[in-house]
Amino acid sequence: MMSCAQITEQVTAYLDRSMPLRQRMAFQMHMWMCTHCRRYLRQVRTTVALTGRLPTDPIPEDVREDLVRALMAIHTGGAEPVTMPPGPGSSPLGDDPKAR
Amino acid sequence: MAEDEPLVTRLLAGEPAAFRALVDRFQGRLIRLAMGFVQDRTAAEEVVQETWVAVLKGLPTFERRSSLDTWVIRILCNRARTRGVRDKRMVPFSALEDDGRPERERFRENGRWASPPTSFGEADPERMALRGEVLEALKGAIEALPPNQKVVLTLRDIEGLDSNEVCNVLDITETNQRVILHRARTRLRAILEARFGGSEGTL
Repeated sequence: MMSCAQITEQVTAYLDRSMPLRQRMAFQMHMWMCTHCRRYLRQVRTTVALTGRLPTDPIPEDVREDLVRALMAIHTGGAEPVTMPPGPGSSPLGDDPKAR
Repeated sequence: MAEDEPLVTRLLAGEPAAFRALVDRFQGRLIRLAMGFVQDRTAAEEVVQETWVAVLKGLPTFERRSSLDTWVIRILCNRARTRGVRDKRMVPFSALEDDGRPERERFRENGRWASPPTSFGEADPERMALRGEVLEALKGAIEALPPNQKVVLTLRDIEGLDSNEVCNVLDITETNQRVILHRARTRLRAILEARFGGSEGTL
């Protein structure tokens, strides 16, 4: 019999379906009997689902437009990115190393 | 892959709207992912810049065997890994970061629960997802993860890569990938429980 401590260690393997069948059945059997581990599994699933919902930070409109222009310049000219606006967080392509 | 074909074609034709779509699709995600590998926002932006240059240069020969997403993410990971190693921030993925295994003390010696998990304080994951403070707490918890855990979790649970793809992109074994991911998820679960847990709710 796997203990609760061992079962909780196996949760990610279980969710990835990367367990041998025997072990998978033992895991499910344990879940059937143990309300604590059942809750644990449910909470890990919930955590994964919530993580998948996290939005990215929005890009400021001017940064976005500058970046689009810079990418088009690279595409057409094969040139290095055009000059970017200064300031932390405002530079879409990061600092130009040559400008330092 | 087939669904990326129109976008790739429009990019190669130099269509401004296509570049805007590309930026909207990737910029935020690339920054977020790069932040797992490097020390600060500036370094992350530099890595993303290198990634964009490589993406645009590689686009004409993009083989469409993988999705555009996976391809771009792989380019970023390669650049970011090099940079992270150079800055001595990354521990090799094969060496597990010691995070103290906080969940261990929740069990008795015989492996039974000593302090079983308490409810997340809700009955339904959907309702939890609608609470801004839950997503804020989760975001903060992810930012505080050790770098390798943050990278693997971001690739798997945010970007939605499968374990094979993550192993390929990071050049790690399946077992290693799973252990790192598991520790990251475990820690996030514990933080949500500590923050929102209580007697109410069935979750």
